[in-house]
Amino acid sequence: MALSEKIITAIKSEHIKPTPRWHHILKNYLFIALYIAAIIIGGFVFSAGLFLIANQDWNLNIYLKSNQIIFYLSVLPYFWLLILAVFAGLSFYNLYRTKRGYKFPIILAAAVYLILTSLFGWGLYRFGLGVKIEQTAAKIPYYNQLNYTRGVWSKHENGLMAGKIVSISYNQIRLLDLDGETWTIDISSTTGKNLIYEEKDVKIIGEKINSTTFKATSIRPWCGCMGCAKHQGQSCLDHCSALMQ
Amino acid sequence: MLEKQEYTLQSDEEIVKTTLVNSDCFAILVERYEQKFLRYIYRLLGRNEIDAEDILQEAFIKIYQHLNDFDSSLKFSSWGYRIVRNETIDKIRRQNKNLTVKLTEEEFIQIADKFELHQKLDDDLLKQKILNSINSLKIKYREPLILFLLEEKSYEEISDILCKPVGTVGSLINRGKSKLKNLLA
Repeated sequence: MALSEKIITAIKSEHIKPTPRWHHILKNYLFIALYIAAIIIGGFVFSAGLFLIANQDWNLNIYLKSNQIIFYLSVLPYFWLLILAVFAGLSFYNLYRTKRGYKFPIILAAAVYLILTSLFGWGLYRFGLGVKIEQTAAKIPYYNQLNYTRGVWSKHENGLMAGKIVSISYNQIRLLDLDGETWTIDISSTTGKNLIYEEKDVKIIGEKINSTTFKATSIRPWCGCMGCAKHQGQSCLDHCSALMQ
Repeated sequence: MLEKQEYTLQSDEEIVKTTLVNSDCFAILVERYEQKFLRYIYRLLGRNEIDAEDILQEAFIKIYQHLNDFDSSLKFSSWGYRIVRNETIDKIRRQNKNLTVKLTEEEFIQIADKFELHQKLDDDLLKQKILNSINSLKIKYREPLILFLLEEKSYEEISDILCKPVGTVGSLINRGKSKLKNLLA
C-alpha cells in the first residue's frame, strides 16, 4: 500500500481530525499574554530597585570604613536584579513559544525587555509605587539580610541604626529596629528632630552605647516620604532634604 | 469538486485549505513530500529503514493534525520539515541514540565539491574522513549544515525549520563550515 493511502486510511479509521484553529490561536495568545505579564512584573521589580538606588545614602562608606568602589558595588539592589533576571528569562521562554517569536535574536529580545521594563518601572517609581513594593518585600523573611541597603542600617557597631519610632519622651525615643529589637535612642544632641514623630521610619547615625542604647547624632528619613502624595513630581531626596531643614 | 489531476496543479498552501474540507486531498501533499522527508529522516537517523518509515508516517499524521496551525507566511515545506525534524529528534531522544549521519555516493560528491576536495572519491579513507568529520561536529552545527549542504535550503528556510533567527542560522553554518573545513584539511 502506498504511504499516502496508508495515512488517509489511518486518518479515517482512527477518526483523526485537525486540532481546531481556536486552540492554536488561544495557545499563541496565551504565550503573548505571559510574555507581557513578565514585562509588567519586571517593571514593578525595576521600580523597587530604582527606589533603592535613588534613595541610597552614598556616603555611608565613611561610617563603614570601607572602600568607596566596594561600597557602591555592595549597595546595588542584587535581590531585585536577580528577580528581574528571572522574569527576563520567563519573558524569553514565552516569546520563543509564540508563532513568530523565534525570528527575534536574543539580544534584541533582551534589549526590548530592558527598555520596556525600565520605562514602565520608572513610571511606577515616579508615582510612588517603588517604595510601596520595596516596603512590602521587607515583610518577606530574610529580605533584610539579602538587601544590603537595609542590612547596612543594622550595623550598630558602625554607628548605623534604622527602624520605626515607637514612642517619644524628653530627649529620647524608643525605636523598633529592622531586626525587631527595641532600642532607647538618646536624641539630646541630634539633627533632624523635626522628623521625630511616632510611627515614623527613620535612619539614625550615631554611636552604640550598649546592647539597648544608642546615641544619635543625625536622624534622616527612611526614604522620607513613604510614597506620600507631596513627593510626586519631586525627587524623593529633594523632598526629604526640604523636610530636614 | 476538482479531479485529482487538477489538485496536483495547486500550490501546497491551496491544498492545505482544501484538505481542511476534504481529508482525501492530504494524499497529494504526502505524495509530494514523502521522498524529501524520508531522505531527510535518513540523513538524521543514519539509514535505519524501519524507524525512518515509522517516523515519516507519524510526522505526516502530526502535520495533518496541525494543519489549522499552518502559518501561510511560511512555506509549507519549511513547516513540514520542522515537524519531521521534531519527530525524528524525539524518536532519537526516546531511544537514547545519537544523531549520526550516513551519506550516499551522491552526497559525498556534493560535500567534496563544496569543500573543494579533489581526491578521488573511491578513496574509502576520504569518505570515512568526511563522515567522521560531519559526525564529530556538535549537533547545533550539524543540523543546519545538513539542511544547507545536503537539503540545499536557504537561510530563511532553515530559520523556519529550526525555529532560530536567520542571523543565528548564518553564524552556525559559517562556524560549522569552518570547523568542517579544518577537520577535512
